[in-house]
Amino acid sequence: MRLSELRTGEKGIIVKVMGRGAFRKRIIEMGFIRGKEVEVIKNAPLKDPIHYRVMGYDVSLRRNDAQLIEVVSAAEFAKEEKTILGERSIDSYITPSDEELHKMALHKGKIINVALVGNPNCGKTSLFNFASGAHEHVGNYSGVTVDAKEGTFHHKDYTFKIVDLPGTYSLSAYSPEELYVRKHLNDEQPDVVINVVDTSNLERNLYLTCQLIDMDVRMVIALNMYDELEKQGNKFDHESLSKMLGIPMIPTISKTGFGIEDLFDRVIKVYEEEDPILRHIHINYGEILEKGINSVYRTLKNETNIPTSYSRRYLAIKLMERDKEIEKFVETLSNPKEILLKRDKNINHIEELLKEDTETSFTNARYGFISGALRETFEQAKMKEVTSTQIIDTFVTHKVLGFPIFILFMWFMFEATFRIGEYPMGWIESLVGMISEFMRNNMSEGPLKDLIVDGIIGGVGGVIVFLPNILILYAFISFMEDSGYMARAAFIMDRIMHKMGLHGKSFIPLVMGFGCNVPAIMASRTIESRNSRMITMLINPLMSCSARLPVYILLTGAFFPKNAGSILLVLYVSGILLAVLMARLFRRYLFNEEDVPFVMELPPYRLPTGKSILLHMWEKAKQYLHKMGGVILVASIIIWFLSYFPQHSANEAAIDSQIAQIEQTSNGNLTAEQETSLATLEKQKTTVHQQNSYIGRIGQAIQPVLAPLGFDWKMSVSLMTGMAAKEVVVSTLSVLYTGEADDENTQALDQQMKQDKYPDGTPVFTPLVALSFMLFVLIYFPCIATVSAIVNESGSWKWGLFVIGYTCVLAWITSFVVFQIGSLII
Amino acid sequence: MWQYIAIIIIGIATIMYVGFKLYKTITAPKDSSLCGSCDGCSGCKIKDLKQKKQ
Repeated sequence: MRLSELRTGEKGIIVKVMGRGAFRKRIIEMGFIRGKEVEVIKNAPLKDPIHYRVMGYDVSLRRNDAQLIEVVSAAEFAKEEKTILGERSIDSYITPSDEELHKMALHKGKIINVALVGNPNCGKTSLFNFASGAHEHVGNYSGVTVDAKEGTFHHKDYTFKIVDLPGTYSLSAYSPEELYVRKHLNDEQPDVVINVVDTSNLERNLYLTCQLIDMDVRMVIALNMYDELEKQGNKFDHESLSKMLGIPMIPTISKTGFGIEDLFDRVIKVYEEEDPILRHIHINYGEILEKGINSVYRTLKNETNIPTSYSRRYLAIKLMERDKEIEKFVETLSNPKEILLKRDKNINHIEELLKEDTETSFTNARYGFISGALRETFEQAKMKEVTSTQIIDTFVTHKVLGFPIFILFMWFMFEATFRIGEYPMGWIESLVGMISEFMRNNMSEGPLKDLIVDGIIGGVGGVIVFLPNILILYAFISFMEDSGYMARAAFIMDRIMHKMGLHGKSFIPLVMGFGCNVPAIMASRTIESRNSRMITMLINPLMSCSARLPVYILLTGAFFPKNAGSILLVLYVSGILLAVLMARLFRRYLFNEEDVPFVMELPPYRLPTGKSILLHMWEKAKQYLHKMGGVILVASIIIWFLSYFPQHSANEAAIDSQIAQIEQTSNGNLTAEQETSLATLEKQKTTVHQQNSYIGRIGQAIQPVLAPLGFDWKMSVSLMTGMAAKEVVVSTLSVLYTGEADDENTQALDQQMKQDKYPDGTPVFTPLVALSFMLFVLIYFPCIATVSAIVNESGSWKWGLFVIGYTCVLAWITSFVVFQIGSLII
Repeated sequence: MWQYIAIIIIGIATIMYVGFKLYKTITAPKDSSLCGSCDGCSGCKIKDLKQKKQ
């Protein structure tokens, strides 16, 4: 608890003093140090300030200041002890000994709150994972972390509570992640900030460091990817730079764990204020800017309502940079007019002198500071070697070769997904078949047997066989993400994206959509402009997520076995092209405001570790199996019920009597002709039953809408149930076809679909129908989770409903055009 | 007969499960952060993160 929360007469033991700079120094000098007892003597009439007694001295503190001192009180001690020792007497909770309180304060003082701050793709999440043992998603492109992640780990008697903040290039107020990081640092006041710096790109990374110095946070710098700096042959005297900046710097390689122990040793030293290097410096912005800063600073100094968690110099700098958020904050102070007037006067003066806006002047001054610091400590290798990244980029981002290489990579990915996946798929299929056979042969006849065999095993088993394909696809996507090729894919798409009114950066959430649309929609948070963000979100459902893969594999395997990889590529590319087309339309009619330009970076290539790829695949396998036991199982059961009931109809009874007649006349010796008639009648009976079932009626009701696309009632029903999750399309078809097959005819689903015929003898599924169906599945109705993500991210149901509407209309039109034109040609 | 009783129980359990899931989806608190964005989905890691945070 905070000191300000203690009531009059209560005592507490100090755990830690937060805040920074002069305030912290003054408080500590006054005797507010860890382990000391502090007593509340009285509150002033308006409850502010508060009168405390510490080390025998009476001290008065403002409530805001007291909020920055963490203490343990007797009440808190009792609460914590109660959870540990439930049987103690009530008295012992109320009156803990001083020694007990002291012990608890010391223990609490050993919890260090650490925030990881750094540029995108500098390895923060890898470091976080390595330190906390978490398995957060890591990718070699910016914007992987879209929200703060928390983890805890223990090291040398200390507990570290680490928060991995989104990557950001600066602490201005342009993008949501910049504001998020800034807010976290101001509001949460972490004990120590670890500034993760990509050592292979020092100049740009140190820009953020400069802003953190301005904020006056206690900091340790992790010089991450230090091996890359050494590989490039550069010399870097980090110890000298460390002394210059007053910030400890530790070389680390987060993917191997090198230096991480040293890093946290140093964090402890900084936290305990034992670090010999740590000191707060002011970046010198040059005479003109410094004069302006000081002038605004002096005005702010008179302001008593500024919380001590804010550095006044930082506020002055941000005001001079015309930071909108800080302006809003200043407006809440007692004398905003005077402050802003002073600021404007100084800005006008500076801009007149320097002939550029103050924000640019500050940026230039920071880069000047960095350049100066690096000139003394950093030596570039004289013979600059051509790096492997440059060699690879010569080809993969080449203006002519870039596209064919990207298409080739995608084709290879789909071909491998299909071809390699065929083997394990066959094994799982046989296993499912064996289980189904076992149940069929060992259970007595009845509805439960039908539910288990046709509903559960048929439905879930029909989808689970595609697990290997999905894992292979994920292995490729992980490789793309981790190696840095994803960022290149975005780079080569940049020009097309620009033409369509989007930035290349939007392509990353789109490619992420190949895995799952939900995190992809969230990843669009990294796009600064709201217009571009909205468009990226709205077109994301057109990116073919892995849930659609079972439908594709089933139908391409059945109808395009020789060109499966190419057909998959066509489907995915169709999704991209439609997304681009829709983006163009949305930009023109819905979001036609001009966007601010922003930068896209190309990180160096890194060979992904096998562990990281396996981890991604394992996570995906877990999710897929979880889905099997959840939505797909439930959907299969519901579909089975709807297809099983009602049990008897007049038509079925008529067929039954015909069967009985044949059996009676044969007297147990069936002729070949009678056997054929019986088989035909059995088949007819199943068809009549399914058509009369509840699901059959639903299917026939919606089928007229989908008939122009070549779909029969089973396909229509599967599309309807697939709205919950796209895999359910396959499980529905599986339940319907398994239920239709007689006990002796247990063929694979694809074979049954190929043999399915309309009453006039024409096949239900043709390659053209299959293509039309796959396109429809690709485009129509995003799953419920995706709609929910769009609603949450856009903040309005309107956009969720809009996406449902436009995707369904677009799917119908596309399939209609493909089927009708295809029918004319073939 | 027992098979009919079994499927009736399974049917009721399924309906209750679907009802519960729908109720959870409808009554989920509105949240603009990561925590509120993926109700009803088990499709990605963000779900785990959300559960941890809750």
